[in-house]
Amino acid sequence: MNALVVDAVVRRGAFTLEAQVSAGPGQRVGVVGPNGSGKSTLLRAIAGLETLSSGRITLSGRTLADRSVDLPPQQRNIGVVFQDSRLFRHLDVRDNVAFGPRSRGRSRKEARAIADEWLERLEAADLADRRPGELSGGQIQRVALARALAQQPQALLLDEPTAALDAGARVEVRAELRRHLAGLEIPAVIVTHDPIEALAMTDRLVVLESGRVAQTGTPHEIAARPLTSYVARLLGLNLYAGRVAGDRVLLDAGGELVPRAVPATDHVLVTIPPAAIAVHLRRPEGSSPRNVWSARVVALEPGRESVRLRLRGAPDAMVDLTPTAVATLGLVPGVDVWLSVKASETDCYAGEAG
Amino acid sequence: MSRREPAPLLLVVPAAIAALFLVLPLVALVVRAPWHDLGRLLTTTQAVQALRLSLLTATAATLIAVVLGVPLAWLLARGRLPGTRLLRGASTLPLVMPPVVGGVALLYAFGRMGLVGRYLDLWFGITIPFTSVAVVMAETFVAMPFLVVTLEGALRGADSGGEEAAATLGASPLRIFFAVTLPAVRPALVAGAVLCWARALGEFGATITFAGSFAGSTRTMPIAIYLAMIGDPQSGTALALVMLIVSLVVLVLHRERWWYAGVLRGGGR
Amino acid sequence: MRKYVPALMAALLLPLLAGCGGNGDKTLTVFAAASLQGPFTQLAKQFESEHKGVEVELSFGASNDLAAQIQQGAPADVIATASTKTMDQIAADVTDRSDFASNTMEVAVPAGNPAHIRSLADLTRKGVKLAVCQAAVPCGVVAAQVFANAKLTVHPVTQEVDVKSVLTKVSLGEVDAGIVYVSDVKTAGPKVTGIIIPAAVNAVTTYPVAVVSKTAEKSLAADFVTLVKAAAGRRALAAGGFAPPSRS
Repeated sequence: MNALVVDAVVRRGAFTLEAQVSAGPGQRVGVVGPNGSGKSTLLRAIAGLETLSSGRITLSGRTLADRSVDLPPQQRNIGVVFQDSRLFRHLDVRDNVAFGPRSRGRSRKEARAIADEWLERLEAADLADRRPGELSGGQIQRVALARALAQQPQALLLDEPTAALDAGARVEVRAELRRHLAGLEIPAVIVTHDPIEALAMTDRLVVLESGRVAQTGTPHEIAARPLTSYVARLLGLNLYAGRVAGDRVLLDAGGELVPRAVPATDHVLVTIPPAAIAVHLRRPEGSSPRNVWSARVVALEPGRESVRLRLRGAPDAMVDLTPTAVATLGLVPGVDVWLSVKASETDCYAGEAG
Repeated sequence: MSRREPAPLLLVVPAAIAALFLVLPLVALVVRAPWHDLGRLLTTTQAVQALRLSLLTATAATLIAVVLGVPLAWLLARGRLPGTRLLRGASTLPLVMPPVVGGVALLYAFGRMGLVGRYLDLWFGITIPFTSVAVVMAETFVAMPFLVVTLEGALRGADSGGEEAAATLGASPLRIFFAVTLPAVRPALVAGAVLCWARALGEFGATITFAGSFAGSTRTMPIAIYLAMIGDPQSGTALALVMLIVSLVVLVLHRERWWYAGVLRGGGR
Repeated sequence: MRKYVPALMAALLLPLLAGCGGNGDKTLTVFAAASLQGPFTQLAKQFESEHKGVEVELSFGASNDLAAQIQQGAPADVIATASTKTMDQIAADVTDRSDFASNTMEVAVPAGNPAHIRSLADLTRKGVKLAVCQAAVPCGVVAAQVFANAKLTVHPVTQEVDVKSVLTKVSLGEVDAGIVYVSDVKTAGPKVTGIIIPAAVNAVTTYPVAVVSKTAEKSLAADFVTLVKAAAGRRALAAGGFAPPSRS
């Protein structure tokens, strides 16, 4: 039985959102889409920060909103992690996390104890006495997550949780989110425009475009057969499913890769940014990249600043090169080349090819 | 290393003139004050009474202004009722009204023959004019708009993100107001309250019209100074000096960072 | 909108320029105590009609304020105060001083006399709200004298800064009685009734008038003083409730 069932129609001026999303207990559903597609509106409607024009939202059998009911956010018991965290600057971390329990009637002492528990669980106990102004971006989002969870919500919403972070913090927070979300027993909906989050942190994806659902499915299904140019662009990332063998990953699609780090699981997903793959006309000797394989150029797609090459090999790959490089190497469809990528540019996560 | 642009003369010169214009009279006051006699002049019963009354009434007026003015500011900033614009105009009217006019208006409303006052007298035998209560009312009337205007601007500009987050965490609208909205505008609240206090302290026209003037109960510092200037200018100047110092201390203190730092440790904007 | 600015500025400034007496008109500046407003306004009109080309500019205020302004060099030609003491203070700045009127005190009560005041003694009754002038101003000094003469102790609820404020409180009904000048009761109209204070205990205020030494219009100033003291002046003052200067 799906815990969170959303059938939302929101009309705002000229824009209409019409989307259906559902998530079962412990399921992580990602909502992706270009700017203006209605992702945030959908999330806010679920949280109760926007009113439905029509439709229905139920959570664990309770009706949160429909024709006759429109529960305010305080009664929906849904935790929200916002892009800009929205931690209360005048309270320390502990009181921030304790805010939910306290608002729901717990005494100050009880609420603080609950806060400490959650901070412990999210490995942020040492931050308890600090103020939001003293925290780094990554720490802030960790606290925001603790705050949202401390009230024991029946569902969790994350609105582009890493979008406002710098690259380093983003990687750190992403990893943490993966970990903590994996252990949840409640449904979670994550709005994101980050490909890695979309593909590696979710069980199902909903692609929104212009207020309507363009595609749904597991990340792998969507990656295998993108139905829209947005998804294809979103996938401007090489994504491979495979199995761990020692320090290597044997890819389902053929070939093997040595990633930066190998998690202690069997099935993994490996990602490589197109710009990280180097193209050689001859097989590179020795040197550091331990990932080297041969491939053939299949297509060239000139982009704004670079050219995207599609290559067939073990595995297939998308590579971004400067126009100059393409010209210098004389790359045209049909040319055989060697590809190499450093292990450090190769990310690896536990995950199934759906 | 960024370059320090020299301040444009077109701004510096008027600024210097403005500063001089404001500071010179104060300096003149300090210079002409009867320093040698200050001790005696300031410890007379009248002086002590007037100062005590002024400090008490200004503080009382500010407290009332906070209790009543904060909700009013909130209503003006967030309310969507049709009469909001009119209400805003009415609540800022005391700012442009001559204080004496304000005093007369208060008499017409709360005086012995006033709209409301006559019933207070008839039913409860209470008359407000000529009491310290009247002083507080007069000061609140002229000073509260300062608090309301300052706070309304801040509430209007405050972003609602924190409030939405609080809502998702289960906070009732009232809790949101006290736990999130108000703390976020604390600087404006403090600034507005200080401005209000300063204005209440210096109030003359409305007080003397509505409350009259009697030593101890209604003769505040400004009235005492005015009267002293008629008969005993030395005493008047001494009292004026005290008001100047008290006002300066408060106005300077409320801007001090160290006073704030303890309150908004590391989290202030 | 911008192109109207010059025209607007001209419209605002012209009257100011016109007021600078550009037509060869002479201006006589007269400072007078506030209580003299009625009679002096009348006399000014008469003076202007008798002296073609002369404009009389009247400035009313508290006697001590006016005296202070004279001391600071204000450009007045004639000054008339409500107290001999105030005129004494600026003796060095005036000439040709003489007394031209006198005034006594009266009890003013709101129309209808709600507290049923019939004599000075009634003012000592419990619960009666009395307004007087503050001790530092002339009308307060005289009021104190009256009560001293009558050997009564009163407890006013307020000591106002000037006599007009006392009158306002009475006419608004906020106090049951106030000690003001006879002239004030006369000009106050129907809102206020006067209760006579017996001459035996009353205090007399003498009004002096003088020419300011620094005046540029010595003869005009002297003419005005003459008018004030002439029959026309006495009539105007009597109409305002003033009595002739007492011969003491």
